[in-house]
Amino acid sequence: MSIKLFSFNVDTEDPRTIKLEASGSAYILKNRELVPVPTTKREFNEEQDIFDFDAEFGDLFNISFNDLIHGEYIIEVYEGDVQASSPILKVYAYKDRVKGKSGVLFKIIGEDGALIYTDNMYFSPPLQDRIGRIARALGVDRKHVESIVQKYMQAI
Amino acid sequence: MLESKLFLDLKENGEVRVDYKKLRNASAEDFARIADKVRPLLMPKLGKDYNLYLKTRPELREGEELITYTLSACPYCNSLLRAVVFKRDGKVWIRKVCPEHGEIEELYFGDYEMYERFRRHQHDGRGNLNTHVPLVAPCPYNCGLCPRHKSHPALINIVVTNRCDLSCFYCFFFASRAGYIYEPTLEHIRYMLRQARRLRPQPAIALQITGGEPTLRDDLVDIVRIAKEEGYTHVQVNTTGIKLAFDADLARRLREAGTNVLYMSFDGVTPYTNPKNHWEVPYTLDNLRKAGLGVVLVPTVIKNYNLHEVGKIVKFGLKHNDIVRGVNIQPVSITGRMPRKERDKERVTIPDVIIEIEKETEGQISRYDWYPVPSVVPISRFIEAVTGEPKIAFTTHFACGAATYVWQENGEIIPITRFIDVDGLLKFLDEKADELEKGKNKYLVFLDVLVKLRKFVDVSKAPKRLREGKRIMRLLYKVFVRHDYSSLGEFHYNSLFLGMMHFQDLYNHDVARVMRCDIHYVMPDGREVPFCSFNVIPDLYRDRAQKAFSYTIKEWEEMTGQKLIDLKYRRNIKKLLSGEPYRRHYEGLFDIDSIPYEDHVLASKKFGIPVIE
Repeated sequence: MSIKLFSFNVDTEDPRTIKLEASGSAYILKNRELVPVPTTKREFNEEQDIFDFDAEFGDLFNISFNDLIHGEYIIEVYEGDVQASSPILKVYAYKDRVKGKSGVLFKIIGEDGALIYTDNMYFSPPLQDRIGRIARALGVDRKHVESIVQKYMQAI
Repeated sequence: MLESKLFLDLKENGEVRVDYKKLRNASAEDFARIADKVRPLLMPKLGKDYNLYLKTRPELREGEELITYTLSACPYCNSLLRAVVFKRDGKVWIRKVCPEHGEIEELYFGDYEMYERFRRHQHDGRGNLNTHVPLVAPCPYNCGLCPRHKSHPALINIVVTNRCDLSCFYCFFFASRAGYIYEPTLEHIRYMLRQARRLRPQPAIALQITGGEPTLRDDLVDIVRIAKEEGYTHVQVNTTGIKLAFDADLARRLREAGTNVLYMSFDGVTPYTNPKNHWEVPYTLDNLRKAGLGVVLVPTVIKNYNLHEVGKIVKFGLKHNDIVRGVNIQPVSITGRMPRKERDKERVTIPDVIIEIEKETEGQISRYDWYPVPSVVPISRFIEAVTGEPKIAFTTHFACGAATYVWQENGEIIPITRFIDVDGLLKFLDEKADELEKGKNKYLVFLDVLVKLRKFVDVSKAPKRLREGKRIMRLLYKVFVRHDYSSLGEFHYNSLFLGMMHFQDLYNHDVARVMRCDIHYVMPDGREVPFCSFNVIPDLYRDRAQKAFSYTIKEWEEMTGQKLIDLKYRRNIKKLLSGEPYRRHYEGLFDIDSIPYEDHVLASKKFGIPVIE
């Protein structure tokens, strides 16, 4: 299964001010452990990547490619392949420079590529609740998810 | 299973049709199952219905100043393009380049200063927790609603028929021109209304029943009742009002069933500018008075046609504001393909209409009295922060609509801004909402509101009714401190709501507006589609979905024993002109006696409505 992740940074004023950056990593479940998926970076291709970008961030941040092109923006694409047929955990760290808020959001992709779980910047419960939910859904130790989150919280 | 044999897939052109006459007795649950199967087949397809051309950035020319970039559809092939929004000559324009069809440039907003003022009031929604379709295509080919949509619905539209008793020259939608009849059964309507109520955290509570002409359905009153049963607290019926001019009992039954207000076409005060229903409106208003059913006048404004009459339309609303609750003006949305030169004759935008109203009312309603729709978000934010419950928030794009309130006293028009510092109050409420969201003590915030609210109101300049006993202050305290909204009726008493809603077309189309839209249509396959996808790309949304769930005209005529052609309205102008209500309603707005009978007849016939004597 191929994995696609994005990082982006946007600064726009029209129609409303958005100053948001986010970057993601993927982990595959192996022997009840979450193992990082290696990825390679490439340039964003509008016509090839617009749909995947919107699909990735439409539900996480309620943001789309069209929001980004309203202002200054950078998008990078990270791609990787995984052989094992296991769920994938995507972790996105973000910083909202308008609200002065930062955090971590999760997505779980099933073995068949279908979306099993997604956070939402506006409606998701507190981080500790979500960590518990992710750990239960993947059948891993909660501390393992916490240590991944810690790494991102320190980075942002 | 009921639904298993009902598909009729016309493979040659890929069209999907359901054998609708077999569904006359199907339940809402049956329709849910059928819709789930049909929905994916009706979604727009990349490469077939549209292409992506996103690499080309349209260039700016000398004298042009960049505002922003956005995405937009090509008016000729629906391809998704990059577009530039820019300032030139004090106005805002949009330009895009289709590799197949060349450059398309259009007026976006007729006044740059107003664009900037409105933009400062933009507030975005938080999207929806659940949606009707997965994210499988770029906006606007993924409607709807998809997970990237930013607003919850403020108003749901449901088309209950495409039959119409008129044949307006500019309309391609009605049954005899479309070639099929779309008229969902009551159970199908119930299914659609449930679909539109599914969204969380804020389900739809306001519904507009529209057509075609909805009053042609004998069971319209039942539809209103179903809407109330399904939880819609506000129900309005969009109509020409013609049938209601002759049927006072229908007005009464609609009101008793729970209709809150009528949305009635009203394009001008003379027969020249309003050949659609000029002669019937006085009789409709009288019947609505008898029924106690309020009405909002809905003028579509076209530059070289009726822009010069918008001030008089407002004055007509004020003259009859015992029954007219508002005037909601719609600058024209250009349907079909039209060369630039022709478009320039018709195109008006929100600022153009606002400035014309300022001119026609001699500054009594000034351009600064108007606020964009999302400007009121701080009010719902504040109330939501206080109550902890999700509230309807009007988070459309700022260029989509504008509004104000006016009162009339001794011939003078008093806009709300004359006695309320609207900017100051909205800013204050936004700050208080921020404080509450950050966890500040609720009672300290209330105390601050209690103390400071009065500084935003100049009671001495309020209309008499609101001035007496400082009623306006009591109302504001009730709303913002005690959260008692029952008194809002008092605020609206004798006021006239003035609104403006500029629906897009493919020439000025902006995806940023589509994804913020809060006026949606629920379709027969259960999708909920933003207005400006439903009507602006009708071949991929409205027409495709409605045709799939339609009868042929022959089927419908056999089923009902009626002939479609027999339903067409024929106008008796002589009779309508001679009645007392006609003169009473238009007196003082134009010289009634100066228009010869022949001109009345010609105006009606030119529009497409035959005249009888």
